[in-house]
Amino acid sequence: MNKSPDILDRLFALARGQKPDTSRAELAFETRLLARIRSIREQDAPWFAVARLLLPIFGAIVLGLAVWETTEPRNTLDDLCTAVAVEGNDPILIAALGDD
Amino acid sequence: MTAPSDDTDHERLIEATLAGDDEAFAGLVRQTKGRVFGIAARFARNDHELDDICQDVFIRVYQNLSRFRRDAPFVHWISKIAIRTCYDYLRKRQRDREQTPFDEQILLEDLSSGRELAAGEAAEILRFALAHVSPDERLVITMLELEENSVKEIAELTGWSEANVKVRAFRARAALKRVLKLYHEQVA
Repeated sequence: MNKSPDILDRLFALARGQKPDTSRAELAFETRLLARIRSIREQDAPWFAVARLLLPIFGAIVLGLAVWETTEPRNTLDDLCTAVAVEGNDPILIAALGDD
Repeated sequence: MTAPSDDTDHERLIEATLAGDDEAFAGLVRQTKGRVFGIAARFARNDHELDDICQDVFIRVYQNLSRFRRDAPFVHWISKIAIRTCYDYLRKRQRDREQTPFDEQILLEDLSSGRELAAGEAAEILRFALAHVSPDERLVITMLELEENSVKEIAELTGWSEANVKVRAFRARAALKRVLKLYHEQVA
């Protein structure tokens, strides 16, 4: 088929003038597209919705901890190092701090 | 090339879309869908696939709109996304090669007989032959010969080097000739 190059160019030249008719596919395209975008958004939404629902619970926990922290009397003896230092009877600590 | 007023209008619609206005995005789609459909129609097999490709293009546009850098016209950016989406479709489709939906024997007999072909018939034969070349070759030859883009434009749109585009175009022509020859021999 030695006429191939000519045929190919002829085919291209003819097909170039044949612009595909997309009018049918373009009909109400925006409506379909926006519906799909909304459905994608809704698929993503459950995580945000759950997070939003849990937000007051987390808030209440943080608030509770803050209240407890301020109202509960702090016992300094709970701190091991402080306790040891106050009682002064830990030989290792005394040795480490110096014997004088 | 887009007019400056188009760019201003696009800019306004982009800002509104980014602010959450869906209607603004619909406006943006209305203004640019002609270009996207024009590109995708060269690669889609039917209206249903055309719709799918175009929806994928605009969903990518929507999801990446905040990354549009405004260093080129919006239509140029959207064309790049359309080309890449079409290329992805062609690659996905590569495994199950397109079945010829027309009577190839009659058309190829007509082709070799020298009878004057109608534009529709030529497009049909090309569609059949293009289904038998690789996705990158199909993309390049379609943009070059049917969409009449320059090598430079194709390089910009695809991200391939100009030399690469030329090589792919050369290979595509050779592959198309092979396909036409093969079917001509079968018919003869």
